[in-house]
Amino acid sequence: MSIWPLQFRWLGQSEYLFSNDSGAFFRSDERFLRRYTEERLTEEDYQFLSDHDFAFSDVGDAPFLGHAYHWMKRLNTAAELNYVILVPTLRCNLTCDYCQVSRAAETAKGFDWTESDLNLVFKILSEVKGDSLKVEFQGGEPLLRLDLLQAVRSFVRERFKYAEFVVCTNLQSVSKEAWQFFESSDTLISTSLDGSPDLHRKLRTKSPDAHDEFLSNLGRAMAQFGPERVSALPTLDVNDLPDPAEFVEQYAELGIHSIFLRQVNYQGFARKVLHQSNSTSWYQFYRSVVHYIIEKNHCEDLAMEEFYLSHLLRRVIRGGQNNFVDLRNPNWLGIDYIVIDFDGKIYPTDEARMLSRVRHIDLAIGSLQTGLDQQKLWQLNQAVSNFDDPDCAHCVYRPYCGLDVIDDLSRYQRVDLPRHMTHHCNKHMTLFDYAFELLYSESPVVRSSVAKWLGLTSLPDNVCLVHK
Amino acid sequence: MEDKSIIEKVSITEIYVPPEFSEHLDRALVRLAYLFPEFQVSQSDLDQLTIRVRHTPKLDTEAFSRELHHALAREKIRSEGEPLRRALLHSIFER
Amino acid sequence: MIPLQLKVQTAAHAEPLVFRLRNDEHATDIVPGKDAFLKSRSGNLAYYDLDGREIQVALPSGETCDNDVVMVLPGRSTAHRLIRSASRHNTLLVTEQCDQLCVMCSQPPKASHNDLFRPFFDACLLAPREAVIGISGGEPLLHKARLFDFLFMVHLNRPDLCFHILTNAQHFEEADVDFLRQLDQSKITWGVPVYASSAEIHDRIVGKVGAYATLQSGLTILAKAGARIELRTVVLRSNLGALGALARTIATRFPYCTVWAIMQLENIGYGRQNWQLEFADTSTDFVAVKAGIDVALAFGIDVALYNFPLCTVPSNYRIYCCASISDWKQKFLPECDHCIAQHTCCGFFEWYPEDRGFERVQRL
Repeated sequence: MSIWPLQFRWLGQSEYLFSNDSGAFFRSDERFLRRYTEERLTEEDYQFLSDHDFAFSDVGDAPFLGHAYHWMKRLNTAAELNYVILVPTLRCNLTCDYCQVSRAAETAKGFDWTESDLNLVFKILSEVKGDSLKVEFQGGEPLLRLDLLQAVRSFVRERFKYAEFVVCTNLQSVSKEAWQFFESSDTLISTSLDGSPDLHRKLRTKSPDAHDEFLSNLGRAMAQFGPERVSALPTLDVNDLPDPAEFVEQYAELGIHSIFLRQVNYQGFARKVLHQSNSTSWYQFYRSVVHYIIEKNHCEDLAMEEFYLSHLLRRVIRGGQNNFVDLRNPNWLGIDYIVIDFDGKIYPTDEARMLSRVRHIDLAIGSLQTGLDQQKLWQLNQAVSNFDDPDCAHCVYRPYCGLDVIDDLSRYQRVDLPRHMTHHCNKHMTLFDYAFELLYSESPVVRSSVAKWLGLTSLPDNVCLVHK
Repeated sequence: MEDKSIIEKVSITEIYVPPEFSEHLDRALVRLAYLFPEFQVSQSDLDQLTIRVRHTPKLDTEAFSRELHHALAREKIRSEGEPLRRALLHSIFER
Repeated sequence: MIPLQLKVQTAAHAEPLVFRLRNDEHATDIVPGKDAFLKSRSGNLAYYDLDGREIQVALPSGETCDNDVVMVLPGRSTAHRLIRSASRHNTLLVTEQCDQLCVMCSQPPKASHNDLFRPFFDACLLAPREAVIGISGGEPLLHKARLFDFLFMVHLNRPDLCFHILTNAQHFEEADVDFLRQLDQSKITWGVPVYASSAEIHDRIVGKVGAYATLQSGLTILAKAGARIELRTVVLRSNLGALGALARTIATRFPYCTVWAIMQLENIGYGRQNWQLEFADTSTDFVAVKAGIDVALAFGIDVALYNFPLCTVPSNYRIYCCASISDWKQKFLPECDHCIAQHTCCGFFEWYPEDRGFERVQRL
């Protein structure tokens, strides 16, 4: 009997979490670890490992093939370009404090696509080999150039069999034509909704009138299009976190059930940052929000979620989920997903675009005018998979995780730091620890929410294995 | 100028390494060196079965032994898993 | 019940006659020698001309049978309606021989075999565009070489057709992978029964020792060939308690299957003989089926419920139900009158025993 190599993590006391490369996992104890590494496994050990396909008898037999398939399903295979983020203008009608892209004033000149830029965008899109495309409009404020949005949408609908559009807008000023633009079922709205109303106003809308206008637009969008087509994301300041309960209730009142807890990324800002963004205060807040959501789901029979946690749970249990481009393995850059800026520059991710604006770092991978810089892309793509990273190779969460080259480069100007020294790794270790804590929880209230986040009516007992 | 650094007491603790891990010790030590730069870990000159940890203030021997055992276990598992990883890749990517 | 055989009269013939009934003489897709045109009708008797051969067919009431593909065997006075053009449920019975004896078998095996692959091939070439054709038995792969030839030749001539092949996966070999890869596997679904992840229980249900072990290797061969696999599990008292464990095994060991179909028992053949022993009334106790479904869904396996009338399934699981009962053997009960879900419900088998079946049947 051959046992697939196990990664492990010490959970405290004598408890360990084990996993193998297909993502199958179980909990056991230190004595099992010793038996495993000292090659004195018992009959019960072999029975357990064999029963649950942690082992196989012959290469190519049924358990072997099942493992191979699961391993393969966790791969993010390089695909044809199917997702583009387009920034038709950097101009914005708001002046949010933490704006990551140093937006340009509403009346500024020279911050929009030219006619020639638009044609080059059409040219790039017409060369795409696949038949499906998701287009996300960012900015600035994309609605300031509704004409460009309309032109792109018409072109893409014509050219692609399957097309989907997302408009990332501040919903501050929405014209009649813009509301009409939103009416199509292939077009989604993504907006910001920060902390508490006070916080949102303080950071973004500034005046009570402007804030009311925003709320009214958000309310109308929710009523007209529903939560399936409207998402609202917070950007939270770790130094000024809202009360978790008030925060969740604000979303619940608007009928928004998916909350994506994101921090402001302070890199490149002049002011000193007193707290590390992986601070305990952030994770305390995070856990409080999730805990509140779990209780609320139980009391009111809802299915509210923290989006990223749900995403991690799905990656753990099912694999795949590679449509969310922030966490994939290998996390190919510039291949199935690119960002085209207002000035024609092309970036591998939206973070890369934002960081290039505020920091002295150039993460562009080409431009509309000159095409993609294949040499630069090739270099970047050397570091996008975690299979043989000297630290990831030993990590129990490796099958569910992925690397973030852009984040490493922008923070440390290098991609080869030991993983535990990186923000990305620390964040994910903490979140995966939490995800598994919830998965193995025996509390019916917790299990009920975990089930809902996985799209189930209840969480079966044999999903999470324990070997003693 | 006077050197303001404090002369600290340096201790050396020896920890036993079970023989089945001895061939993985080198790689484990490399890893421990960057994971715990506050410690200096080296093999004993006398025999292959102990390592010497050079450290300041008190060493939490239990915690460090656990880290050492984990590092050794991981190198052993990784090394011995190589043929299986190859068999997996071969079965998926052959033809 | 929709008749699958029609009374016919025609002059003697040495070989099976396979032809298509056409009402429209001016159709543009005529196949010479294969299309029989309606010349006249008298009541339900219809007279066709097949290239000079006169054929009299007794049409079923309410049906025109236009574009149906039928087969008349030599010396017989019945036409088998191999492909009914207006139906989604057409199955070719390629053999009645089988190497297993499943306790719920709806088509108990016979020792003799009549090779009809050539007429079946002819029939497929006359099928409507993009038709889905079932291949069943007995065990079709007992005649693997003939079946593979048939599939290859039909695929060559009619690449638009889809097949749904029922097989116990006991007869695949590694050498078959190469051939299977030559077929367009996106046009074939392989329906493979598995009753439990315990060899003991599965083997007992299918009446063959070692079946589960061979089944596993059969599935790996299909997987390597890139086949679409529909795993099928009939719910029985014998395997009810093992559904949760089976679900986990499917998720871990056969994650490449396209769908896991959990099926209710059909009261025909051995299914009728063993009804009292094996029928599990899931309308009053859905717990075991729910356990199986929940585990499979947790791991991302697609699930379907076949032959479960909607009212016998808890409301939040009804989305997995399918209109799975073939039209020709489907009926509804008096309780179904005014049911708002009738058009999406699978209904009941023609031979469903109302006195010994589900306790809870009611209109929605």
